[in-house]
Amino acid sequence: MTRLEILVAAAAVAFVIAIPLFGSEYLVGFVFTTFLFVGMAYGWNLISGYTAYVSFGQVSFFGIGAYTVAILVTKLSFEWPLAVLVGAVAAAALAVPLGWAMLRLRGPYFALGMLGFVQVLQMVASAWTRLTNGGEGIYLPPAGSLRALYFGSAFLVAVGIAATSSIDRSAFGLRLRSIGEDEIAAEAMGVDTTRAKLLAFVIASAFPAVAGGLYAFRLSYVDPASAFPGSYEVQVILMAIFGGAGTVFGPLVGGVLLSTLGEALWARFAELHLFLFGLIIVVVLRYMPEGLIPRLRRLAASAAASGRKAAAR
Amino acid sequence: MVGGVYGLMSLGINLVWGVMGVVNLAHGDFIIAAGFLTFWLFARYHLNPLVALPVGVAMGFVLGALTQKFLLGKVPQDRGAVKTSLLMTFGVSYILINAAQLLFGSEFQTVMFLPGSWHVAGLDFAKSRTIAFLMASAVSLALWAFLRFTFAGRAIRAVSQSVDGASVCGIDIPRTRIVSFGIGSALASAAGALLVMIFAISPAMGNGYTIRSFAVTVIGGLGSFPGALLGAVILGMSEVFAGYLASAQIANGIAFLLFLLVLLARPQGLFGRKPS
Repeated sequence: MTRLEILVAAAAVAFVIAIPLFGSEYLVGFVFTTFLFVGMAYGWNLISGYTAYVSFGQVSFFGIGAYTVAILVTKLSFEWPLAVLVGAVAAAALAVPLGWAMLRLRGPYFALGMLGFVQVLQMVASAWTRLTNGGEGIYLPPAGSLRALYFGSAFLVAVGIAATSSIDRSAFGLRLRSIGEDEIAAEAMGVDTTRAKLLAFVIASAFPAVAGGLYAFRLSYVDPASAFPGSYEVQVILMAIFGGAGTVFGPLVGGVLLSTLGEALWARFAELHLFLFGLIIVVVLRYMPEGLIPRLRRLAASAAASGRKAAAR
Repeated sequence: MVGGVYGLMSLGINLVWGVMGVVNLAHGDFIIAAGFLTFWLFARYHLNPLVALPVGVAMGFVLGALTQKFLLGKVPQDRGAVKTSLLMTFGVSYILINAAQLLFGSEFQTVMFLPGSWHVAGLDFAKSRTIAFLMASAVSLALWAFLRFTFAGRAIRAVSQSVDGASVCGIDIPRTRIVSFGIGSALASAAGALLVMIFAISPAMGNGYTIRSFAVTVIGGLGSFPGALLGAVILGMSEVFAGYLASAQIANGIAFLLFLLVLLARPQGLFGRKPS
């Protein structure tokens, strides 16, 4: 790390800690929600940013996290941090057999398989009334303060950045990229693709699970509709591709920018939320498919190159 | 009877997939949008759903062709093309869902067209379902004839067999893709207009129908007409039985389970070509 990077990181940490100390309840709630989305975007980025497996079903782990937490807290009176962790473990445990079956499918098959899986889980959640209380949902006792949850969400983002940056530079990250570029070639080069993508899928599943658990506490209520929100799926995907899929800081930049923009502008057009998200996805993919960070990096590089040329002349 | 409409739904996804190698994730939303258009024309102007059907089909064709011309057609055809296209149709899907919600509200709607049933040979046939089935069969037949006997249809089949080969023969690939995507969406719209006569629909149901259409295509096999019909019948029957035996909620997940079973056991589908 250079000195500048350390400085920026320290400033970011100070800022994150300062918000709950000095900010209003509203601000803390807003940043909390933003962090949940950023955390989920990091999860999505690991599997769908680095490899070519585009998942439209990460929200299923969000729901698993939310329900695990709700059930553990109401039926077995767990403390909330422990319940959230168990939720993440439960999601990862489910991701192993699910990934084993799903990751054999490529392209559209995988995408639609994950999309369908969300519906199956939603169906299970409404049909298995003894465990989930069906459509009536489960009410949670209030868990600590919003500030405690806030630090949970900040922790999730920190883990996301740490995990992604260490994977980005590791041999494992290269393996994932090679799967994204050309899976058959990667296999021919001796990459154990099944193992690498399954591992990425399992790690990726824990992020939405933690976010779902924290969200359940914030809402104090879980039902099949709130546990598997399709609109969150779009937002998470949009944040990751807007910032730059397959980059370390893409999800963070995309998530913070879009959340802030959303809070400032779209809160007034609540009805048009999904429309705008869909529209922005399409526009970003049309004009900036690589995302903001790689685009800026390229612009900076070409500016530097032309500057050098001018200096040489 | 529902099988006929499911078959029609899957033909659209089948065609687009065959020609472009991409699944339109907004397919179900085209179905729902056309269903709502039909409902609206019926409720507001008392327009016969069968008259509304061509209107919906025209709308579907135009929207689909525009999507292909201005969005999907501009995606660079490199290794990331499938990923980008999938994400793009996902965006289109949410645009359509939200537009339908704004225009028609989020409630469940259906068209009460021809209640009652015909008695033939001791069996009861619900009138609306029978008509939906017949119309679906007619549209499917028309599509078959189009693909078989017209130049544009043959161009579509050629592109789905080999893009390079078709290109060498002087077929305008981008144009053929625009036409294919338009027809795919038009088929979805036709299915939607018929569907609203049978079931109540709501804007949020688009994904469910995308998955059903896809499951039917997978069960039957890519590029197979009889396969699509058989897949549709299997899915329709399974859903009805699951609804009887357990509950209507279970029926929603059946498409996914069948899809997974077939993929794990016989990836090319029941009637599909083996991938070379």
